[in-house]
Amino acid sequence: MKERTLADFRPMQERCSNCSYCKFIPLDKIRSREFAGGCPSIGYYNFNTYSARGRFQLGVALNRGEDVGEKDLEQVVFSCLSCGACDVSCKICRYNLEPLAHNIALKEALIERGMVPGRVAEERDRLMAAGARAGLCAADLGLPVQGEVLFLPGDRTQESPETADTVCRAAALLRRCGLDIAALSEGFFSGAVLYDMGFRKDFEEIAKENIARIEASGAKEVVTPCADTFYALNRLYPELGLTVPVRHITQVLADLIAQGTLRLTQEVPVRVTYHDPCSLGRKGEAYEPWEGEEKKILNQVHTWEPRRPRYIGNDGVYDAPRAVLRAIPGLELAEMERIREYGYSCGEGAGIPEIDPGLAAFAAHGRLDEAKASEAEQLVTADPSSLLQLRSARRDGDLPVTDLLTLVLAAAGEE
Amino acid sequence: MDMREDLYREFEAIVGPRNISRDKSVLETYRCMASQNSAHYGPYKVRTPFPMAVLLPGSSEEVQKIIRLCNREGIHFKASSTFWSAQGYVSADNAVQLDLRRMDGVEIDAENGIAIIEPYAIAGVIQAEAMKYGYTCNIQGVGGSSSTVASTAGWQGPGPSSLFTGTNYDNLLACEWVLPNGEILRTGSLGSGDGWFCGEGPGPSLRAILRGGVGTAGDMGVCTKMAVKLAPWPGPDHLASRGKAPAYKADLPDNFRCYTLCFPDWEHWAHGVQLLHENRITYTSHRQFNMFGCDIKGAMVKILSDENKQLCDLPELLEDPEVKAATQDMHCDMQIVLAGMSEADLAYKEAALDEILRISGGHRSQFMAEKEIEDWALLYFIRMGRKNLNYVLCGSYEGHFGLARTNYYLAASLVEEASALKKHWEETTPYLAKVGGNSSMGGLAGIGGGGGVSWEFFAHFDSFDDASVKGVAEYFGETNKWMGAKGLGGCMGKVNEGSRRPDGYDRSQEELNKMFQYAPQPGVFTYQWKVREAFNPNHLTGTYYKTLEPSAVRTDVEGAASIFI
Repeated sequence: MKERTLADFRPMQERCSNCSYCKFIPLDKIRSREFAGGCPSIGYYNFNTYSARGRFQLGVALNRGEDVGEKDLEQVVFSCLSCGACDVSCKICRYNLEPLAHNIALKEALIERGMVPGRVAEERDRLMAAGARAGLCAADLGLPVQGEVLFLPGDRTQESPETADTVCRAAALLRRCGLDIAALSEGFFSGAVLYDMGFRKDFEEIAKENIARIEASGAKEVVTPCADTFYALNRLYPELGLTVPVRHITQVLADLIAQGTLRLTQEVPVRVTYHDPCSLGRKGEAYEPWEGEEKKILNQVHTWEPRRPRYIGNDGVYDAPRAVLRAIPGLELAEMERIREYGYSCGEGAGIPEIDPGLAAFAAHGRLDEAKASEAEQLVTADPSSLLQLRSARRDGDLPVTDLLTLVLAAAGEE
Repeated sequence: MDMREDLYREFEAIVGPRNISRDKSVLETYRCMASQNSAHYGPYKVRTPFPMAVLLPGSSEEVQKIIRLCNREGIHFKASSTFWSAQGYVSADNAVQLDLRRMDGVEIDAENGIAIIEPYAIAGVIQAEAMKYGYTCNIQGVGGSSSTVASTAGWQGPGPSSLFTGTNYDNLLACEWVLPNGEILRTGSLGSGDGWFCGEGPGPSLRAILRGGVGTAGDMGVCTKMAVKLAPWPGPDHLASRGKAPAYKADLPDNFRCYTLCFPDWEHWAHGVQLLHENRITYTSHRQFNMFGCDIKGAMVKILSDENKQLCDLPELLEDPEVKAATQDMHCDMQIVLAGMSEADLAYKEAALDEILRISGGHRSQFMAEKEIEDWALLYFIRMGRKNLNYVLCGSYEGHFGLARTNYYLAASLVEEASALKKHWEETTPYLAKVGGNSSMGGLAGIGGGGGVSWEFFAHFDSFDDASVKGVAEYFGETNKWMGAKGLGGCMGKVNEGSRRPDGYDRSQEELNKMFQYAPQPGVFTYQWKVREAFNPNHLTGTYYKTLEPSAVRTDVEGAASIFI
């Protein structure tokens, strides 16, 4: 990946207008006081410091070599979910700032300086010890190791027997629909969480190993039910050389339903609301190669030469899961207030459940509260990690959290 | 400056350990970066002083305890909520910063048509809550992410809809105010235990005391809760939007229209605007998109209303004949929104607009009437959710000239001369964005009673570029001279300097005396001096609340040209 340092972000840091848009969902989309917030970190800690704007200010001070403390600085910098909510809200008005990239670059800068809190280091070590070959393998999934479509089950799927079973049955359903599906002989961990935590070198090490395995598999396409795996393969790996395209399983299912290959005939009479995983949505946009530089026109107007991709979240995977849900007989979809590119994080990202459990629970509770306010009966998501996070945070009275795949399997008569 | 340990513990006992910090990393993010946070203080490459601690009070009682402790110890304090403005940051070394973020309550009293709000209730949230009950609110010009309490108590709060919804200073009803000495004052009907419905009584009406000339700018204690008037909203209980980011469009029923009105020259423009003001047919009325610059506004509208376009498309669009013609057509323009309370009401307003345009020689821009652009502009004006586009060109801007104290005829007669001065700087220096000189913008109804336009020019500059920042400061020296020569008072871009020194610290009383001793109406500042002495005897806040010692007033004509900076 292209080398970057915190100094590269100086223009952005010193052009942030401190407007606080990064704290909210896009203002045009606000429907209530309760669900106006976008960034869980400022929501939980309340100090400006924890917003993207505060992080830009910290970046200014760090680049100037000023003393901004150590222990507290580390805590602030790593208490960011890297969910990208600030990124979308900022970019509604600003065409030359990249808050998400900067938040991650801040983490990278502290890691480079050896300023890594104990919990962050422990989580990194745990992930690296498991390595690129963690997780479910072909034998676990009951799949062959050769096929046109490589099925990657996900970064956390194996953590729950129920989730693992659902993913296995979903893979089997795809085979029955005619897809020539295979899996790797050993497990697969995308490493996206390491990237979001700021451990770029570790991520690249894992990514390069994985890219070699994917390319060597001979598959023409990758399919995954995991949002982080999708994000890694669609957005991050191509910069490192991956050429095999990836689809999320909801995209495959939506196509099969549209083609008439998959028929959902069984009634599933339930009113659900859908949680957009950040890594499948706004962070899941496809990588676009870009090499260029800033060019000022009209004296002082900033542009990029050539045109630079904006990654504002429009092209994430939002329609496919909704199309699948709407195809289920008897199912009713009720939307929450914060959806699609301005969806609210479930608290799962950047290792936060291990690094900062209070922040992770705060985010999940915010999402569960919003789901309940939608008057749905179940909260559905399409990502094993989000599912596990939301389930782990459930309190008495919260909605049940359901895997979209279980609803599809039920509607397909696979129960 | 470090705070004594025992004192820190006392503050901590008030708000709880989670809601106070003196960590260096936290304090760093409570400094105003003057060239970036330009609403309004700049342009300078400085940051305001570090506070000794940041506190997050959660109630009026906690605010009161903090302020009492500050008075006991002689510690300066400043409260803010959204930190949009430099006014909200401390301006002394021995100061604590109050961040009112935890106080974000919004209660809609539908029966009385009012909202009872706390400081961190941003205008965009208040409006969304009000719409559920068939109301909307005034959104201050700075936009939907800013605090309505701050705008109402601390400033004036004009916005595009002020002709219809009232300006914030008009809309202030009862309020709860922690005075600079720590006493809690409940004004209007609240002061007599009769609820929030009225600002003037039964109970004490201290509006003029607490607001002063233009608002307290955070220097007269902390307003912790207030009621504001709402206005009828003839739309759905949620304003839906369609389209892709960032070019969201309003998805409204057919009783809303957004027009850009074009006039052949400024005289016709002033006549048309006067008729708009007198006939009160508009929901919003604002000269808005000229803020980008008179030569590029058409191209900017094309870019901003299309999710696939970027600033790098500007050169091509500037050569597009259709865009060029439309931009020229819109040289003397005004954007308005009509909201029909009924089909007949909309028909009446359309007919009235036709007549106003006939009389004043104006017409509707066809370019801005294109469906996608109209719906984009409708959302822009009704929700004010994209005001941060003020910064889109270069990363920063600063308002200047500020023909705000003039009526629209005077503003219109001077606008081309002011524009020529700006254009000269754009063309002979690299500091400012080169946008055609005229970047005047402002809303109708900025002046109560007589009507007017708060006419502010935007200077777009790069806050990352030291030369650009320094150059714009020099340019404001010239605009200030021009304003003085015209007898219009200080340039807006320099007046902000009167509130704190370029290094971010408070002005001394001697400096303030020198600035205001020749003011055309020195009584405003001597009155505020008396109020401050009575209500804020320890001078623990700042110098945005402008004061002049009565003994310092001068009347000799020779000094009059040196007013303000």
